[in-house]
Amino acid sequence: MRNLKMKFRRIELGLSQTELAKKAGVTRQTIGLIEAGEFNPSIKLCNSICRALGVTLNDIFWEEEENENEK
Amino acid sequence: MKMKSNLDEMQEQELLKIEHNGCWLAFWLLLLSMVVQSIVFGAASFKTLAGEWIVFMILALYLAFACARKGIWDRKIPMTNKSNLIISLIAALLFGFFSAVMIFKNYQKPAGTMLAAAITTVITFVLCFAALTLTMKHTEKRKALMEAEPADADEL
Repeated sequence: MRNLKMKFRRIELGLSQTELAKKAGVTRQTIGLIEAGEFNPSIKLCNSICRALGVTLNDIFWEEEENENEK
Repeated sequence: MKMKSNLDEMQEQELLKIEHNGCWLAFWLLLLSMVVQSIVFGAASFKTLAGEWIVFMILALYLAFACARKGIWDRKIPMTNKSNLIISLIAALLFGFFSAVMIFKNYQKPAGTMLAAAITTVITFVLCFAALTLTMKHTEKRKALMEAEPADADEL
């Protein structure tokens, strides 16, 4: 399932995928795949992304149960 | 139909590690087996090595092309001409030494062996460096393509 919360927060901060990738210490492809819901990041990477976006894990990675089952 | 995995995330990672180790074990053991058979049985063993050689080449080419397609070079070695030069030199020296052993075993002529091994070393170095440079250029292109921001990156 696409991670729209993360994408929305990135756009809100005016960051491109490349800029966020640089802040989180990963490649742009990784950010693209996480937003598209095609890659499940480790908790360590989730933390780096949250720090770069100034949010908590709950804010962008928490999914309601019915959404979680759509995977 | 997609089959449901019997493994949880940790088991999946463990399985990937096992498959990774198995792949490299097969790669190096195949190479070692071909080198040992060539030295022990000499030129007569080349026909019997065909099967191993084909499997080895398929494995090596698959790894090289699959990594290049994904824009991946190596975990530790940087994508530079300098590292390609060093790798080519090591490969050429190792293959040159192997050739010297093989040639001397067959002809027992030290001078001829040295000359032939030197030529083999130079040719191996040139071919290896050319192959690495071409693969590096292709990998760089693929990486740049994949790292480019897509037009719809900011579309919700």
